[in-house]
Amino acid sequence: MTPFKLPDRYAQTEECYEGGQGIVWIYEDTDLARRVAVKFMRPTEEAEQLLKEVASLRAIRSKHVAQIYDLQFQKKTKRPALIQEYVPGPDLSVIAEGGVSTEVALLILYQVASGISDIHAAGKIHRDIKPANIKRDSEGIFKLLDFGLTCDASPQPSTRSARGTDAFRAPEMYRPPPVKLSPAIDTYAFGVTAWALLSNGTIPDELQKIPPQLPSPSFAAIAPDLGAEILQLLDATLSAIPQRRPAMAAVKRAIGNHLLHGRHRALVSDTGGTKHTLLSKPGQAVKLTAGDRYIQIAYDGLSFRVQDSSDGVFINNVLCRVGVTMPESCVITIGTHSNRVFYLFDVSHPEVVL
Amino acid sequence: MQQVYKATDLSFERLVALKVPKNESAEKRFARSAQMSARVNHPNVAKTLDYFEEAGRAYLIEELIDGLDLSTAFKERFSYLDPHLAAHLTHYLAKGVAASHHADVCHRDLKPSNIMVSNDPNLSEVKITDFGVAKLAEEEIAQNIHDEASITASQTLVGALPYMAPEVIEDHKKASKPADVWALGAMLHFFITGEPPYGVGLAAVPKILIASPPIPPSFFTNAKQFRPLTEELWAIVTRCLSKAPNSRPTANELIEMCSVLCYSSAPRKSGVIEGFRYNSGSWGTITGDDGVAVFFHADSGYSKVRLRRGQRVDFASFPGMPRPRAFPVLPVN
Repeated sequence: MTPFKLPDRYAQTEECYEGGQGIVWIYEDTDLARRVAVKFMRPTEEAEQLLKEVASLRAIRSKHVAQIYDLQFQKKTKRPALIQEYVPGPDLSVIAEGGVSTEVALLILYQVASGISDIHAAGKIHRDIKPANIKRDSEGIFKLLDFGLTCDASPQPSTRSARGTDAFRAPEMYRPPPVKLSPAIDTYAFGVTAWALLSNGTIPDELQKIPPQLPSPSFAAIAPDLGAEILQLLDATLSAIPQRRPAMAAVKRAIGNHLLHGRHRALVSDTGGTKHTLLSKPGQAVKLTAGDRYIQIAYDGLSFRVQDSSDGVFINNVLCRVGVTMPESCVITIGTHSNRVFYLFDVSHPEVVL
Repeated sequence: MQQVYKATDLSFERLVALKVPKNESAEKRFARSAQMSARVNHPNVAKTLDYFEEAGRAYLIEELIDGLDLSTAFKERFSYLDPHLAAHLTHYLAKGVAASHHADVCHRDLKPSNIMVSNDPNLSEVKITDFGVAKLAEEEIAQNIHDEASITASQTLVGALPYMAPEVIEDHKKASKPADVWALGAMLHFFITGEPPYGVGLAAVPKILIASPPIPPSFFTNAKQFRPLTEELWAIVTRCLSKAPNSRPTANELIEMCSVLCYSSAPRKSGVIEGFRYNSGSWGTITGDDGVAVFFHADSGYSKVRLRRGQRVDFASFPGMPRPRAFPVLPVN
């Protein structure tokens, strides 16, 4: 039985989740013929806590956070119940145990990183990132749940009781209280979550110790094919020093780039519009010439770089240097004065759309 | 059909869209419509937040998008969209429509006025509204479609007609998933050319019924700096506008086609064309609203007419010397 009486339109189901704070019961909203998740605090818990959670949810704009529908108050006690979007799942701990390919894992981690990055952009710290708090909806969108511990990132909060979930708790949480909290604790928890997802739900022994014994083994041990940039970033999420952990927006960007690997396209055309060259395969290169001057541009799967060039070559009127990344859109000028030849260079790529 | 109000949800102090049925016949179907739209859950579909009846009247509460509908955006700001922006928009719309088809909900009334976009030059947020509620429109359309006087009188019909599939014009009961795909194709045509494929008003009806493949306007085919994207977009338009409903791609196939499109989603800003160098007519400068002067080449413009001094434009800008370079350049009002 729930300690809460809702309007008749909501019919209670069997599905229920016990949170660290509060309980979530799944109801059928008979008016709209859909399930909703209803969160309320246990009678022994502070009812105010739920209103704090509502305030956090209101501040965060993200497609990776469940929508809030309604707030109901108990007539006599004035205790609140929060009615939210029902996310059917499964949750990420189940998905991780089932095993996923690296490609699928990256698409999921991209979404989780986007969600955490949105939370941080709203000036909040989630404080309980873990696979069990991340669920897939019916359209394959991953959503972060349980904002019961969420707090403002500034002024820097501290806590006497370091809450969260053991293996996902950053090492600084084990220092003597008061423990200072920063968004980097979410980044650490993201790192452990990423490890679990890439290794069938397992977590290295070092990270399961209390406190964790860092440095953690490198992600190269479980996903060597991720590429140097992502491996370095993921390894950094588990750094013992909070300041060394990357910003979640940077993690999101790097994973997004990786998802687009080999899917960029550059169109090179002369200004007469007669000749077009398409660069789209990793390893492919194009050499543009005018007299004995030249520039050679190659695609490495992530960006287009100048591989070789003579003197007297300009990119958007900047003297070309070997190794530079081509801007997304530019004019290449080969030669000077009256002998100049122009080429237009435009990069495009698919958008990561969820 | 229905009236829409901007309202404040006092529980969460947020703005929402409050919808009420316009008349009794709409009232009957309103609850069912609300349930249909509540079944669709996707970032590119406006969320159904609540539905309730009070004192015999029904109310539907929907997520309110901070922005404007595409029909208004075209009246106020755009004449057409460059292929990059159109590809972005179509990709998101295909995702939203596919999500609804997965839940077995058809929109049946997809048209620019039912698409909400954020008010920025990148149209970064896109949400389809009025899912399910469209069933109501159908009734009004069925009543009026074969009568010229009532077509002009029915705002619903005037807006819907240019995006209506031939089988729907013949028999409105045939409105199903392929009709949504047709509407997406017709909208993409509208985005990149500024006009729906078979025109507007009653004159469009016979043309839609024949459904001969549309011919791209010359400014579109001539925009060489936008190839091969233009060619790929046109292929999508043509496939979606197949006369036979089963020859059209499914929404899932449409996503596949969109997900391989290469386009630039670099952040855009607005500005004014300051002038051309040496009266060349081919390259000049744009002064951004932020005061930064940017170099551009006429070929980077996506425009039906020659770009002129004083024209307002949206553009993305990339590093260059002495000025950054703009691409693409889209004339706006």
